[in-house]
Amino acid sequence: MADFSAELTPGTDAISELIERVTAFLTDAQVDKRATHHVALVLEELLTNAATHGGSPATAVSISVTVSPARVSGEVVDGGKTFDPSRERDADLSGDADKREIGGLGLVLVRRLTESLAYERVGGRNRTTFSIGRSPTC
Amino acid sequence: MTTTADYRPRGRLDASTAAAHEKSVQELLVGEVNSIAINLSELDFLSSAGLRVLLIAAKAAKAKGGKVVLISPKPPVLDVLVASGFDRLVQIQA
Repeated sequence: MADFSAELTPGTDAISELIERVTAFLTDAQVDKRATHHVALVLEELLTNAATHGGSPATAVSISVTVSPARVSGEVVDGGKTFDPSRERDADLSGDADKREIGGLGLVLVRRLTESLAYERVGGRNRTTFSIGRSPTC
Repeated sequence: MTTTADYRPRGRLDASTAAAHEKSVQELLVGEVNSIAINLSELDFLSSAGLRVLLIAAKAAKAKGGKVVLISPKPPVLDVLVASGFDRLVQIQA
């Protein structure tokens, strides 16, 4: 088991820096490239969401990542408005390029690339947890 | 008639780089150019902000009677394209 934790005030640069640190941590922990990419992606989408839709952009967000033999688990806790990523409506993925809506894809990726995704409101904060399986073939 | 420009994003296509890539891609679709071949072989990370750039490019190309083709995505990037349904929207070549 290996753990990573950090706290940040989400903005584009801070998120980008954090994602680089998480990627380095997962690479050091010998997590395969595919799982590393998807954990970094889910964190980026959840943090970007907290930064743009949370209602309190200056509120610190804490994250933690745990590596176990079969999977990587992550947790994001923010003090923004109540927001359950597991219950938001999916963007419409049908239709041609000219009809496709631009936006709403972040949560689609979070839901489809995670093995599990859970949300709870605790002490006035949003707590989102997820896990992504490690592929021994990658 | 199809006139194609090549584009090769490297590293990350995410919220921190999307604006620059969007500008570059739109600048390619000038004059007779109506299609873009986007080579993804050196792209390591693709997020929803990056997908938006690809969608904007696909819409702009289609409006000129052309198309966007994505070439050689790495496995994690291909996962993102499939999970978002982009594999049904644009042509992807291995």
